[in-house]
Amino acid sequence: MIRKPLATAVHYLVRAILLAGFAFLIVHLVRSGKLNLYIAERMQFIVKLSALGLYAVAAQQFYSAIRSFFDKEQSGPDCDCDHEMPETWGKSLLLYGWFALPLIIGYAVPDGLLGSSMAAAKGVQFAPQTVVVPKTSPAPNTPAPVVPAPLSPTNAENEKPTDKPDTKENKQPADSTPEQLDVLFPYDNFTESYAAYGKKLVQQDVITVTPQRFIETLTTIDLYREAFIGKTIEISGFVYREKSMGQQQFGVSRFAISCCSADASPYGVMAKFGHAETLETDAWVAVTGELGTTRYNDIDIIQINVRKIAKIDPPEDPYVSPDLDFGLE
Amino acid sequence: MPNGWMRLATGAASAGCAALLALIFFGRDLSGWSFDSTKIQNFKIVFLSIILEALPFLLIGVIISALLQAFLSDELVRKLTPRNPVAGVLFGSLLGIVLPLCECGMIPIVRRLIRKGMPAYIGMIYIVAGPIINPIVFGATLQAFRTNESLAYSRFYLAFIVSVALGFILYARMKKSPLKPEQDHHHSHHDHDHAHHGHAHGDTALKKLASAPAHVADEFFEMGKYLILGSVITALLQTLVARSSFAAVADHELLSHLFMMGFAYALSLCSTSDAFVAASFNNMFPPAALLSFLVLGPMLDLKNTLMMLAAFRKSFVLKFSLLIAALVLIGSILFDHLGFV
Repeated sequence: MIRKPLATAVHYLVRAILLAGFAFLIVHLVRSGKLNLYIAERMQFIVKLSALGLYAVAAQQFYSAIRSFFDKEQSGPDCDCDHEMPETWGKSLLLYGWFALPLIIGYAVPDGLLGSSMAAAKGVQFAPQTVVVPKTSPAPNTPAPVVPAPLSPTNAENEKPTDKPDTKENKQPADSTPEQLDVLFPYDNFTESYAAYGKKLVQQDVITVTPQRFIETLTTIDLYREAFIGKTIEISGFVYREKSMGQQQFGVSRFAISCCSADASPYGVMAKFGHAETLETDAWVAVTGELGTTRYNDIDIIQINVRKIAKIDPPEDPYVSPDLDFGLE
Repeated sequence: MPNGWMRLATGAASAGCAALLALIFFGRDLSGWSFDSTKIQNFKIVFLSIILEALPFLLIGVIISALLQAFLSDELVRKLTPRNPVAGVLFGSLLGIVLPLCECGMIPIVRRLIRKGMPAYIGMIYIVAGPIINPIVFGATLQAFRTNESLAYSRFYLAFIVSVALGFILYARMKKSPLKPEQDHHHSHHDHDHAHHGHAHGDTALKKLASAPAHVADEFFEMGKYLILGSVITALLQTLVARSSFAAVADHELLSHLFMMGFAYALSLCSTSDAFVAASFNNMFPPAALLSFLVLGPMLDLKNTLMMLAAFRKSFVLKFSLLIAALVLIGSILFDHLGFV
């Protein structure tokens, strides 16, 4: 099929515009700080790099457009491959329109945070230990089912003196010798690193759930919840609600992503607060409270009995990622 | 020159068309749902994140593919092809490591290689194994499954086992050429070859290098459309279908495999980017079903069936496809029961 040079030029021009459009979209997201909403931090560099590549190819297509417009001999790329420009302009329209779709959505639809609606569609993980403990084995290392009422004040008070005397991690509290810790934190191959982390955590006055170790910390606390009952915990996330929750209950949740927000999976911890109704769903909150347990949807999960709560702005990077160094140090 | 002006309007018209498409999607989003802008935002986030994440890998894939197309002569490949069937099967399975072409670039090349004397079974194994067993896909898969590395490695072991098995079956059973009879598209092919020869003789290395970026753009647009389609379907599924709706399928062993295999077939993702889509189903489906998705997708999908039908006999494509599907299914269930994933 012999093409008119003008038509070929237009083809190249449209391609150049589309390619540059993708590159600009990436640059736009980087500039506005919104790339965090889409791509995990450790993958952002390679995405930025691809913007450069797209620019280069766009420039080449633009150059081809000019060349085929002025050079009447040129009749498209001669090659032995099966790439050909679409034959009719209807087909071209469809093809280029299809590529314009992500660009239009990218520029025109306002950015929003992933929140409760997505979390509800994916199902918030309130019992993260199920992720590490394989389903086939009957969770041999989780401490035996709760014997006394876990939230009883005596239980909580028993725990408290253990963390008061010590201020630094390396100083063992009088009544938790390494042997006692080993009893509290049994482990197997799957849970070894969680047990080690748990032993460190349990000796802190206040357990702060950091974004860097969000999943790992919640998993550890959930795995060895008996050891943590009554401890003070600090955590922030968005307010998430499900129908089966009580009036005073809500989830403090965050999405965990490993590469991009398509693989986001929501993790959360249940919180109980007397004035929970004053909190809007999807509002970001910082919560401090005492750890306890509760039964939700027929499984035992940890629950924070809220002492202090504050509304906060959503963080720049709303997602948390699995800590790939966890268990390696 | 009215024709030219018509074509000039392409740009503007395609923008309009895309806007219509967008409206169709949002219209579908909204019908039956109360007006909920968060759903659209969720769709946008999932849709764009897959595309943005896959772009670098797609680009690397098409760049290498374009360079190979420009620099590697068929003669060289043919000279390196072994004659012994065992060596041939291994050669076909592992060729992707040194020739990491994308599947779309592969079929035309393999067709030409078979015509020029490469044993057909080696070419067919390369079509199947090449899109998985290559360094770019290995990197992308490891990135996507950093938290579940055994699944990432299993993808390559299973792909290798399936392609070796396929290779021996093809070697034993395939008596006639899988290619369509020459006269079928003799005419168009003649034109093509002609251009090629005229081209090849006058080529300098510099000219070849200059043609590489053009290939990059061509392949980008050829592959990109399937990536966008895959991202749209995945994003719609993720935003509109609750996880619990998959539960019935996901909890059934055979169904979960069949569903993910069918899904991989329909999505037709480029193998350099499909791992990210698979990872997005990480907490919905068991890893073994994701393994089916990861191994079947690059070997067999809608786009590659269309391309194979253009080059190979219909009955061959059908048998070949069923054989692949059966081997992948058996393989990933076995991997599951042996505890590899």
